[in-house]
Amino acid sequence: MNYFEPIWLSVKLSFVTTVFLIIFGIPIAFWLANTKSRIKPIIEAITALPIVLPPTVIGFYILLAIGQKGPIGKLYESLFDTQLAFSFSGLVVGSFFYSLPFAVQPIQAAFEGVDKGLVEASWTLGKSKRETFYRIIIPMSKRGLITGGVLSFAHTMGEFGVVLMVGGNIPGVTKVASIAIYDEVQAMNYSEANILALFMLFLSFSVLLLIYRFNKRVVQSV
Amino acid sequence: MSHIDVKLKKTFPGTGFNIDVNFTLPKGEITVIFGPSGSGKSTILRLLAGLECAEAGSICLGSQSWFDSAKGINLPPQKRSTGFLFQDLALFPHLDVKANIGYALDGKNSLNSVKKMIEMTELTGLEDRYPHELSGGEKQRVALSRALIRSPELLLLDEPFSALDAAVKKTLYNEIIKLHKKIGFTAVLVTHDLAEAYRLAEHAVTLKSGKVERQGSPEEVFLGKGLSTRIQIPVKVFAMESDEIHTLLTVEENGRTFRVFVDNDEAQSISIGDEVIVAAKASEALVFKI
Repeated sequence: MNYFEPIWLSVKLSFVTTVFLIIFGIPIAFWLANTKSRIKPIIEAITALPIVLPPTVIGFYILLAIGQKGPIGKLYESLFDTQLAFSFSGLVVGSFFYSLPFAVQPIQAAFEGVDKGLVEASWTLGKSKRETFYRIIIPMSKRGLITGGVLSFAHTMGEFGVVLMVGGNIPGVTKVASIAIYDEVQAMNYSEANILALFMLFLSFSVLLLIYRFNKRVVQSV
Repeated sequence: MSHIDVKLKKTFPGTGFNIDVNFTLPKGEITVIFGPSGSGKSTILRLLAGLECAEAGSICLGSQSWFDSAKGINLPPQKRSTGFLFQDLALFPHLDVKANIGYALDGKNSLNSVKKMIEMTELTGLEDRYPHELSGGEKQRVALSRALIRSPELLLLDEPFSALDAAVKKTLYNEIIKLHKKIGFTAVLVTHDLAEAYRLAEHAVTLKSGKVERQGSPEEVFLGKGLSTRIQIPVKVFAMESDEIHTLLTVEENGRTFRVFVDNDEAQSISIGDEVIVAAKASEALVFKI
């Protein structure tokens, strides 16, 4: 069995999803942290849905949206001439929505925790809102950003239901480590499943350990 | 521009409290806004800085307007040339002293400006320290340096000394006076401490419930008519004795002699033979039998 392929796919999926979650999660979290809009609770509830919904429910609706007859699926196919569902890109879309609250919530909490006085001090020193965001709010929210990134990565590494619904089980394309382990167990190949599982355990633990150690250093320096 | 004209109105629905003020800030002078807690002092500073918006009025620096409700002008804080010394100082905890002081500056000359300011405020040797590694007085000096480094049109000081002990306060008063003489900035200091107000004011405004009670020179405002709870006695100094902290002045008024304790800092400008005013209010007077 090729152990490398599903593990590499899991790592690649987690990394790409985390990058997208950080890129899109920061503006969403910043808006949620600062808005007084009446629709804030609705947006908060939508972003938090993946925490309470079974992965199969989320996977089902994402599949409907990105499938060949779904609006996103149709658009994607017309643009790139290939289908989104059951592809690596489709997995990224599914993982993005499934892990969204794990990125948004810690980052939002970090933004809400930044002392408003520091932001106002920056404004009175002539710095624009954008510059204040990059020079004060982001550095002061490092811990939340790192936590959001770690949770997104870890949550995507451990995905099973959504990945199976949206990506199926295509070797080298959508068959990530968690599905490969499930396949091996179904085939009674416990030793193969164990090797994959141990590798995943070691990899996940190492990544988390590294990031939390880094996070501690960052917090101490602030 | 010889002064800054301020007319501001702001209501706070549901509180019964309104701000409705009209006062002048003389150019190059320290104006003290004095009043009890809840009189609207800090809000006025925030309105001046553009951190809050008034409903009506204007802030005019000669021909330039920072705010004019009639003309629809309301410059954001970034466009108003202010330096703000916040009550809690608001030093950036992730930046060291030199980065905090130079935060407002861009470009090649910023390092030189920061170096000069550090020397001027006697922070040399502390450049690489972070705010949590500084004493209360050092933090104040960093915050003051940061507020002054852009040479703002208006320096706003929001009760910056309230959390400090008396000795540190006095040192900082002297430093502010020294810097003021050197740079000549226009400043507004908000305080509810009468001694602080009297010590630093060149122009004074007293506030009560969001309205200006009186404005003018410190003598007019703090010692003038209408303040029946305070007394003022013109006297002549004919002896001075000092220890490490206090100076005992022996003064004479119409043939009567009495003694007054003052801090050494306050006594610095007084010499034997000077005619001075002894001012006191019931809660602060010290009486000694001669």
